[in-house]
This record gives sequence, C-alpha cells and structure tokens, in this order.
Amino acid sequence: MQSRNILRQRRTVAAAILATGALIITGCAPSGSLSEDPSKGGDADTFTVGMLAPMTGFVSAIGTDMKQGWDLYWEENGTTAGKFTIKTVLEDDASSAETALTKANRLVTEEKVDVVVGPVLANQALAVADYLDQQGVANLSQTSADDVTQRESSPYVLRTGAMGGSHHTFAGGQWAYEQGHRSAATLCVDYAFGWETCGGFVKAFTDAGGTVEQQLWYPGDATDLSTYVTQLLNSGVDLIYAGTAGGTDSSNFLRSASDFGLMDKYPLLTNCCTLDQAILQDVGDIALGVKSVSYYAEGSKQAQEFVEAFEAKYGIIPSSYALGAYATAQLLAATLSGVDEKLTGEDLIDAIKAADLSGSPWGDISFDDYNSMVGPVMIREVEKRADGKLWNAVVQQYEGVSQFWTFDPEDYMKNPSFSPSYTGK
Amino acid sequence: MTRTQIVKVAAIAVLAGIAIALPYVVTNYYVTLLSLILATALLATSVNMLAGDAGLFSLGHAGIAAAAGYGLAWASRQGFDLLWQLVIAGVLTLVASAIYGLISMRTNGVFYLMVTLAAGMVCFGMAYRWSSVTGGDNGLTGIRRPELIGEYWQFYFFVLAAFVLVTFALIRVSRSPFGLALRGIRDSESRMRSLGYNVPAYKFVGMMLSGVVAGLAGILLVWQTEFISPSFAGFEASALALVMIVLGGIGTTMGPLVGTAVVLAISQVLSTYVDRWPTILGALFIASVILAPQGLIGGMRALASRVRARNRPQQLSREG
Repeated sequence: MQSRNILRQRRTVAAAILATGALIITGCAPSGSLSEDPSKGGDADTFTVGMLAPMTGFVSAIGTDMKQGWDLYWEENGTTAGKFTIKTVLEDDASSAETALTKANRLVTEEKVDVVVGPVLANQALAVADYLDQQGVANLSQTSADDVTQRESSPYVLRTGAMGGSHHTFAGGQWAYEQGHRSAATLCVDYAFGWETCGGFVKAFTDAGGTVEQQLWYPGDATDLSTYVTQLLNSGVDLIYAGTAGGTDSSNFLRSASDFGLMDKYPLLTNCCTLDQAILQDVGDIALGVKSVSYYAEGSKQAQEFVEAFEAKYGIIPSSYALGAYATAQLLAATLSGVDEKLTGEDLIDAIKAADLSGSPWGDISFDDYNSMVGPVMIREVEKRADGKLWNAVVQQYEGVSQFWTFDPEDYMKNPSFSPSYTGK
Repeated sequence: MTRTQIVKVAAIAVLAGIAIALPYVVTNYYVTLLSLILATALLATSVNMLAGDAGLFSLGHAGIAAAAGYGLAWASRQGFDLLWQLVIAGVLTLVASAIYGLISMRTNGVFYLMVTLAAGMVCFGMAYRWSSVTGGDNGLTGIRRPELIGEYWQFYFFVLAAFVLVTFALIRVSRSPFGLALRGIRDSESRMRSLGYNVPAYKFVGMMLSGVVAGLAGILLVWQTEFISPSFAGFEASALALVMIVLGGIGTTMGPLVGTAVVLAISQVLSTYVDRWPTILGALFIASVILAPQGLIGGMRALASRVRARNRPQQLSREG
C-alpha cells in the first residue's frame, strides 16, 4: 500500500513537472519557425502544384475525373510552361474536410507548393480556402460552393474549375420564363449544394415574373424518390425543376420520374449534375430529351477539342470535373508562359485574371472582382450521338453570365445564403 | 522502489522528454499532425473512460464534442471575446452531456450503444439542418485560435499539456471511490444496486465527466482546424473514436493515444503514398481484434508479462 502511495505521488509530481515544463517551453520558438515564409517555394525553375482531389471516400469518382483531366493537359502539352517545369503533387483528401485541411497543410509546409488546385466538395473548399488565405498561398478552386467567391471571397482564391451552385442555374430560370412557363415546382437535394442550385433557378424565375408554387427537399442519402415524384405529379404547374447532387440520387430521380410518367406530363429542367456523364451511362435512354442548365456541355463547340482528346485517351466522355481540372491546367500554363519570374499568391491570381481567357474549353470567360468566372451557361438537351452514346447538346447559350446574374453584387450579398427558408422568392 | 516502478517512471520521463523535444526536431506539418492526434486522442479518452471503467460503450461522443465546437465557432463568428466563446462552449457541453446522461443512465450494453448513437445523430442533424447558425453542410470557417497559442508549436504544447492533465485527472477519478463504483457497475450492476448504490446516478455523473473531456476535445479540435462542419458530429467520427480505443486497448491509459496515432497515421500520412489506405486500416483493425483483442497496449502488456513470467516466475507471484 505504501509503495502505491509513493508511486501515486511520483506520478502527480511527474505530471506537474511535465505541465509546467510545457508551459515554460511555450515561451521559446523552435528555430526557423518564425522566419519561414511558406508562400515562397524552393526551386526557382520548378513550379509546384499541390492538387487536392477525393481519390477515396464517397465522391472518389470525381477525384479520378479530376486527375484524368489534369494529366491529359500536361501529357498533351508537356510539363513545361515558359521557363518553368510543372511538378504536380497529388494528395487524396478522402472526401473529408478535415483530411483536406491536414493535406493542405502538408502541401504548403512540406512540399512548399506554389499553388493548390482543388478541392471539390463545398465544405472542403471553404475550409481549405480559409487556410490558404491565411498562408498567402494561391488556390485555384474546383468547387461549386457559392460563398467561396461571394461572402467568403479571398484575393488568394480563384474559382477556375466550376461555377457556383446558383451561378449556373440563374440562366435556367430566365430560359424557363422565356419559354412561356409561368409557374414551377422544384425538387432539390437538402443540403448546401441543393439549396444553391435551387435558389439560382427560383430567384431568376420569380424575378422574371414566374411563380414557384411548390418546393420539395429530399435528404441526400434518400434511395427512393418516388414519393417526391408522385407529389409533383399533382402539382399542376407549367414546369418541374430538379436540382440533384449528381450521385445515385440523380439516377434514382430520373428512373422514378420516368416510371411515374412525370416526364410525359410536365416539361422537366434539371441542374448541371442530374445529367452528368456518369448518370447518363447509368440510366441510359430514359434520359433522352431531358433538358438541363450547366456551364459545360459535352456537345458544345468550345469543348469539342477537349472531349475528343479525352475520349481518345480514356475511352469515355469527360465529366465537368475533368474539364475543370483540364481548364485549370490550361489557364496556369498560359499564365506562366508569359512571365519571367515565378508568380505566387495574389500575384499569380492577378496574372491569371489578366491573361487572355478567350477560346478556353469553357468558352469565352473572364473573372469578376470576387474571383468567380463570368462565362457562358448553356441550356442542354440529352441526345444520342451517331455512335449511340448519350451526351448533352446545346439548345441555347447565354454568354457572359455573372455569379450575381443581373443583380448588384453588394446588394446581392446582403441576402442570406440560400437555404430551404430562403430561395430568393 | 521495485523494478517495475523504475521502468514506469523512466518511461514517463522519456516520453515527456520526447514530447517536449519533438517540435524542435520535426517540421511544422508533423507538429500540426501531432496536435491533431493529441486532440483526437482526448475525444477517444473520453469514450475510453466510460468504456474502461463503467463498461459503457458510447457511439455518440462526437456529438458532445461538436456541441462544444459549434458553440465556440458560432461565438467566435459572432465576435464574442475568448471568455464568452469558452463560456458558451462550456454551457453547450454541459447541456449536451446532461441530455446524453439523462437518456442513457437507465440503459446498458447494446441499448446504451443505441441511445448514445441516436443522441449523436440528433447533434449531427442539428448541425446539418440548422444552417442559419451552423452554416449547414458548408460548416463554419474563419475561426481563429487565441493569439497566445496561435503558432503551430505553441498550440502543440497547449494540447500536450491539456492531454497530460486530463489523463492524470482521469487516473485519479478512476482510482477514487467513484471510479471503483463505476467498475463495480461494469462487473455486476445488480450487485451494486443491491448494495444500495444509485446506479443511474453514477452513470449520469460518469457521462458528465466524460462529456466534459469530450467538450474539451471539441474545443481543441476546432482550434486545430479553425473550421467545423457536420461531419465533426457525424457517426463516422463517433465510431472512429470507438475504433481507436479498441485498437489501442480499452481501459488502458495510453490506449486511446496509441489507437488514435495509428488511425491518423494511416489516414493522413500513409494515404499520401498508398491509394488503398482504407483497406490497410480495415485489415489492421481485423488483425488486432483477432490477434490482440486487448488492443495494442493490452497485447504488448500480455506479451511483456509472458516474457517476464518466463524469466522470473517468482517475481510475478510476489507482485500478484
């Protein structure tokens, strides 16, 4: 018993020493930690790109697409841009925001990257952008989260790989009104992306003079959407708008909509991701003729060269994520070709914005003051190509679409972020 | 002092030396990773305290950590000063722990697992849907650590100190009459009841103590990432905490730290080099359950005592 007491005392003493020691040590910095400037990479001739992509986790398919798009550009054009050799460090962000943050930390402090490309998921992108903004490292974002270039915009973060969730759907609302539709019902997935992708449509549609009579939200992991589809059957509106997340939910929605005759009864308009290539390959011919609104169409003129090259290499029609990475590589290469000294941080972002951006596979684009793309948005229709593959062909193209649509940026951002309680009605 | 005691004290001294020296040896990234491991291990420790002492397995502790984390993050975004951020985080921790405690105190075994799982899912649901406060799926960004621990290495020492203090505090709790009562409940709830112990009250207090540790872990994790999103409260986070203690050794002092270190080393470091890291993690978990059901620490301890028994059987009998 006595020896136990002694041991206990010793442990308490050891704990106290350790704790005090830790507190004292806190006063002195490890050497070099304060003088390090993470924004400057090592080698003057090597431009290091850190890429964050979800190679595992629930959106790992997107990670593969991104990697393929990125690799394709450098294989086509060589890994030299102007005076620089491009070195890519790919990190798996595991579809998780916490992992993306640790990996971003590794890319910045260990690999000393000059720019970070990605990540793609909204919460990852917002978290990583916030971190890179503090570190002064440039970020070429691939996400659709509105606020990356709105309420949380940063001079270090440029969205080159996608348009915002509401950004690309405004044109859908406008188009629907122009087609003579005056009332609509919406069905969207119940999280940030769905709220935004619904909000853009609803805001533009109601602003033009249409009314939205019914709004339904389904949970992201719902496997059966038939109950929602049957509710829409009795809505009696001119048009149904669906904003799905681009996973199995999209396939499930299209199947239910086809089975229950929703597509025959009402005109249907969807967002970018409901008719993404992966979904088209999954559901097949039932998607024929369905219209959607997006910033990328496989059948568009501007993307043709890219689509052909991608198909020749990988045997599949590329998704918008592949194009996002490809177009980002292209922008980076074009910018670096024209400079003598290595650009990082804000300088790099400014140089990319100032580069000649016409003729990109997105179409003719530019960047606004908040670092979002201003470019074409297309109304698309699913068609069968001569070889029997399905793709999205362009019905109508809106040029120079801003993330603020026709609204004043300052006023627009005073609105709350889109959510089920605010969709811009 | 017996030889075992000398070994123990020496081991503690060496570990402390290494822990304090590390930031001067390894780079920023690895120090940050160590902070992450320590903060996550604190969450695992809170689960371990209930699992080890009281035999109660919680599948929802990430919910309590998230309550604290969201409280801190929200208050920070609203512009409250540090004291109020901590007060709000603390109040939310206590409220969440009390709710967890009240609904779980009359259950045990698989029912305890289910009730805590449900409570965790409620926390997740609130984080996910109450977007005007929690930012929904996008989470809350732009949270900053207090200036005093702003640098990565300062934060590391802070988390290290917190971990050490909590660990020693929990050792004390475990050896107190209260801890003994919890172990009594673990071994035979009906006997404890017939001896006159108010079993639900003990379980409630146990949950409150464990919840406070989880809340502290939540605050540290938010300071670590300067970001919070619903996955923080999700099932995966709670389940991983349980996996970590099973891997490290349930009821052992260092088990949660070892388990957390292994899991995070695989998911954060090995994933840079190996694409199929989830497979490795899964295989390791299965192997540990089959080969070392007491966890890595428990397995090592069994191995050590077997070696000792072979060398000096008389010593072992005297200690026993």
